[in-house]
Order: sequence, then C-alpha cells, then structure tokens
Amino acid sequence: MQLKVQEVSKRFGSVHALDSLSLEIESGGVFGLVGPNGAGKSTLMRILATIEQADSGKVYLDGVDLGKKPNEMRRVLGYLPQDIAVYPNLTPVEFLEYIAAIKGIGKAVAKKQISGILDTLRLSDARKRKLGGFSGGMRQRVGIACALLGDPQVVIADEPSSGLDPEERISLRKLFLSMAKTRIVLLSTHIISDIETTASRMALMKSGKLIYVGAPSELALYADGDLENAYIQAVHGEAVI
Amino acid sequence: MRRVLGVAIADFKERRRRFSFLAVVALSLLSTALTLPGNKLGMVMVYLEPEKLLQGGNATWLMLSGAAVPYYMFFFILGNIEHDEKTKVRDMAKCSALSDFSYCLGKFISNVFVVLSSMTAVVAGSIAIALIRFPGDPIPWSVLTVNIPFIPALLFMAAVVLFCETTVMLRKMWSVAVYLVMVSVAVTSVELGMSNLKYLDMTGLSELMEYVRKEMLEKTGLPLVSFHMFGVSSVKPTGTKQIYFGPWAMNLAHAVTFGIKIALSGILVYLSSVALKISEKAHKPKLAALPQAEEAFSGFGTYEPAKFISRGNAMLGISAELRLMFSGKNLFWKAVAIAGLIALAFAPMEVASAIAPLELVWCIRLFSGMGSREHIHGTINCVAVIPNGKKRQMLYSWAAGTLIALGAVSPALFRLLATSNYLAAFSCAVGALFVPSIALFLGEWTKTQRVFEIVMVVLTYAVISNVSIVYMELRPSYISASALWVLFVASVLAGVLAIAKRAGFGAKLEAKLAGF
Repeated sequence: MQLKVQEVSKRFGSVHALDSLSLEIESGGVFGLVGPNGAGKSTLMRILATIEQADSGKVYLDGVDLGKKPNEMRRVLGYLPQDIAVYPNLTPVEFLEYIAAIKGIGKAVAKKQISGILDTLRLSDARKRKLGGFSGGMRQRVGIACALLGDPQVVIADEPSSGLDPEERISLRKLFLSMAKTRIVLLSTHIISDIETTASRMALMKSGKLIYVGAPSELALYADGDLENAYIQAVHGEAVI
Repeated sequence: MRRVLGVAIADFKERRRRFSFLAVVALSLLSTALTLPGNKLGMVMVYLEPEKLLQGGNATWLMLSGAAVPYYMFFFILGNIEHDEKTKVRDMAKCSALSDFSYCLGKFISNVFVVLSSMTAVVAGSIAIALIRFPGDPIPWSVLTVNIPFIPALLFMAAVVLFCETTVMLRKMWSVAVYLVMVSVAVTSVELGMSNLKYLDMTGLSELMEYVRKEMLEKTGLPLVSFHMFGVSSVKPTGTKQIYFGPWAMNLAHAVTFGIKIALSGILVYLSSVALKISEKAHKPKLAALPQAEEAFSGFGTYEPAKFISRGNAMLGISAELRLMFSGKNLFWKAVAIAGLIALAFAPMEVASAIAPLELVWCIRLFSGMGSREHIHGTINCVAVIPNGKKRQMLYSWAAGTLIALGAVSPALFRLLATSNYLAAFSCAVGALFVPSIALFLGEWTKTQRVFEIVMVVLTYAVISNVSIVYMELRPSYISASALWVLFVASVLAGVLAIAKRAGFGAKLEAKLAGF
C-alpha cells in the first residue's frame, strides 16, 4: 500500500499548522514522525486519518484521492488518537463491542477478536472493570485495542507509547514491527528511542514543514550516531540537513 | 478573597467560552421574543375579575421577560463541580492551600456571574425588541427596575445549585427533584398566598406577582386572577385596554425578603463546603490493584486480525447504542422506571397523561447524551474514522432513543390504541419521537447535555401544570391535529439537522463561534 501526501497545507487562523507538505509512505516498515510540540504532527495525522480536511493539497491512498473518497481510508484504517477517549461506565469489552458495532463487524467475529486483542494487550484480567477506574497506561492499551479492531491495513498512532511503562513500550514496539510487515504503520512520538528501535523511515517536522525524511540511522550520522542529539541539532537549525 | 475570585473568574471564563453558553443566551433572547405582545406562541396576558383578559400591547410588558430566566438557568449552572472532577481540576484545588469554603464560594460567585449574564442578555434583548416592535415609543427604562427582585432570587438559586452539586445524594436525577420542589414552592407561595414560602422562592415569581397585582389594582381597580407568560391557547384575550406598567419600588418587606435570601445563600454556601468534604470522603473511588503490578509482565501477545465486510449492521448498532444508554443506571433508577410503566398501564387515563411526561423526564439521562456524548467524552474521533461512522452512529442513536421513548410510554400508547383513541395515540407517539429528536439536535448543536435537560424539564413542568401545549397531550379534547403534524415534522427535521451537522453542515459557522 502507498500513502502519498502532496503539497498539503492547513491553517488555524493565522497559524500555518502544515505548510505545503509532501511525503510518501509505503507498507513494509514502521514510519516514525517526530518534531517539537506544535510542529504539526497531530494535524498531519488527523488529515491522514480523514478527521480533518486539508485547506489545499491532496492525500492519496493507492492512488485514490482521500479528499473525495475518505471512506477508502476509513475501511482500512486503525487510528489511535493522542487523547484516548472512552466511556467511563463501560467495561473494555463493552466499549470495544460498541466500536465494533459501529464499524459493522459481525457479533461473533467481534467477540472472538475482542477476546484475542484483550489477551494480546494483557487486559483480560481487567475485562470486567469499568474504564473509569483504569490507569492511564491501561486506558492507552484500550485505545490501541480499539485501533486494532478488524483488520486495519493502515495504522496511524499519535503518541501511542504515552502512559505506558518501559516494558509495555518495548512490547508495543514489537507489536507494531510485526504488524508493519504487511501494513502501513505510522506513528508520531516524542520518544526518540521509539523511532530508533522501530522505524525504518522517519520524518522530522518543524513549524508545519518537513526538515528531514529518511532512515533514522542516516539522521543520526549528523551527530556521530546519536539520534537524539541529531534531532536537537536539526530542530535548532544547528545541523544542515 | 483573591483565591476565591481566582476560582470564580476562571470558572466563569471556562463556561462563558462554551458553545452552550451562547445557546443559553440565545434561549434567553428567544424567551424575550416569545413574550412579545401579540405573539401567538407565548404572549403575556393577565386575567382580571370579572372575565376581563388583557394582553400586553406596549413595551412596558416586555420588561417582564426576565421572569423566564430562573426556570432554565438552574440546569445550566448545574454541573460545574462535576466538570472539575472530570477534568481533575478539583484534585488540583484539593491539594492546594485553597479551603473547601473558598472553593465553594468561588463556584457560587461564578454561578451568579453566569445567571446575571443571561439576565443581562434578556434585558438587552427586551430593549432591542422594544425598539423594533414599538418604534417611536420611549423605552420604558424605569420598568427595568422590575428585574431587581430577581437578583437575590438568582443568588439563592445559585446557592441551591451549589448545594445540590456538593451533596452527592442530590446529584443527577435528584437535582431535577430539587428543582421541581423549589419551583413548586414558588408557585405555591403565589397561588395559595403563603407569604412565608416567598423566602424560599428562587424564581423571583412571588415578588413579580406582587408587583403585577399591585399594578393591575392601581390601574384598573380590578383584582388579578392569573398571569400568563406562555401557552394560553385556550383563552382569548380581549385586548381592549392598554396597561402601562410603572417602576418597581422597594419597601421594607422587600428589603427583609432580600436580606433573608442573601443570608440563606450564605448559609447554603457554607453547608455546601461541609457537604463537599463529607461527599468526597464517602465516595472515594475503590481502585483494585492493577493485575500487572502483581504478576510478571511477559509482553504483549501476537495480533490476530479479523476479516470482516462492513455492511453497517443497523441492528448491531442500535443494540450497541441501547446498551450504552442504559450503562451505569442503578437498580433504584430501573425500579422507578418500571413503577412508572406499571402506573401508565393501570392508572386512570387522566392520571396517566400526567405520568407519561414524568416517565420520559425520569429517562432524561438516557436521552441527554444523544448527540453530545461523543463530544463530551471525546470518542468522536473513534467514530469519525469509520466509513460513514458519524452519520451511522447518529442514526443508530436516534433509533435507539426513539425505541426507548416509545417503550417508556408504551402502556399508555397501547391503551389509547385499544380504546380507538387514535388522535391521542398519535400525540403520544409524536411526543415520544420529539424527545429523542430534540435531544439529538440540541446535543449535536450545543455539544452539551445541559440545553436539552433545561428544555425537557421546563416542558414537563409546563405539561404537568396543565398548560395546554402540544407535547404529550393525551386528552383528546385538547389535541389539535394540525399542531401535532407540525410537531411531527419539527421532530423529524430536528433529527435530520442533527445528522447533517454531524456530517459537516454548519462547520464553518461553528469554527467562527468557537473563535468568539
């Protein structure tokens, strides 16, 4: 699969959230998106997830214009938003069943998959507890479960590892790596080590523009193999990329 | 005091910037427009002895429009402590040097700011409408003094709301009961002349009626029988004589009443701070130890995708919405709802016609999340990334709400059908369609449950107070078939507009208003 972003711009009042941004992402490896706060990562993610519309420019999924046919993306999308939203009075099973019903996944299929996903994300023991009493990390995993419902071919995850403990974060990286073999997995993060260990390609954003697109290892070369330092230098304009 | 004002100003700004605030201000202006003399929908009129009806025909009548504000502001200002708890702002306040009393006082002041803003909108609206409707006439500035008695009443209301919120037992459905009791106290003090009850009047009705009575007697020499603001379709005004209201004058009795109301407000604010402390101690969340804290974490398992073809299964969607609506409802709530159904099945039809709207208002929390729930909890993004998810979810929600409303009044509906009372049965069914439709519409357009709850409670109070309006009227002699069809079309239109809004209609306007 191929996701192509062509000259996309988005403004919020006088702020240029995305400034004529172009990018190509293909399945077969995790694509990481990094950048300081306010760089436009979440706006780009929301446009790719068809929640927001770009002011100008196009987004194509396998050649289909998503501005005209957003449902083409929605049919194959698993989206994890930055702020995980749940209904506090429901249990994780009930919440996932609700999302599955809106997605149109049959009852029997949904039931089987929900049970499997809860096992996968180590939430089975909490399946009967209300979401209102969940910790931040557990809630994050429910959000991930929500994104994985069905068979998403494109996974867009906005800061998926926030709230997870180190072990959970490592497990999530492995999960995304295994999924990315045949899918597009796009994740945005502030945690450089997530990109270093997971992403085969990455993009660095600043003020709505891309300042680097390529392999993390190549960016790291700008700071003697230290990706974190290379990131800081790039963001502050100390390294010419 | 700086801390108290800090709480009050922050809280007021937070509420002022919500879309629902604009909606309530718009509602205030609408209520002003409805009191416009000659308006068939609302109109202000008085009934004097013997058989003389006078309808407002000059701008001085418009200045009485503020009377409607307390009836809906109660529900609008309700819920700010709950909001703090949800956003964890309350936790920040708790671990600061701010005392519970200062916190409650700040919230009370913010409540007062909100109700006074709405009152100001009504006054401004009255003046604007006076200029439009009576061009050339002088604006009756002096009659604006009639709004003064509302200020201590609104202060008292702000304190009652605060007390309801801080006392966990009085939250949710019980706050509706408190509202009905307090409004009944106001009405009883006027209707039965129980002057001691006027000290507990949070609507300002007793002072208003005293003023209207005095003015009528002075200007016509006739005693006042009743005063109507809305829904008087069964009487015909003669409109033969113009009455010009004069300014409201303060006397010692007023001063005493105001003093008592302000003192009661202060006591309630103090009691609220005590109640908050007790409620928070009694309702600490019981969190069980997280499983992974006790067991060795062995990493996530492998992901198994599920192949499916999305056909948008309506039955699944509607049942999921039904489950969501009923989630968190306790046994007591269910028992009362079932008791209502039994009463509707066996009570005489005259009684059943009063129970049906009460049964629907008991289910208010099932409906009030419609359209707004996804915005309040932020799950709108989960739905937005599903093919046609936003529209589909709204349709499922509408269908589920309609099923609940029809279910809630079904015993009455079946009885009416069984006795061939088809017009009344149609009225019952249209009423049941109206409730979820208006809930969906107001929920989606205002992104809050509050506006719908205000409309629903005021509507129910009007119906059970025998005001002849088209909603849920089960007495055939009072039903107008044409009005019913209007309500039916309006209900369908409300549902369609809600779905259209979710699909993106009006997004630009909303963005502009959000900027405001």
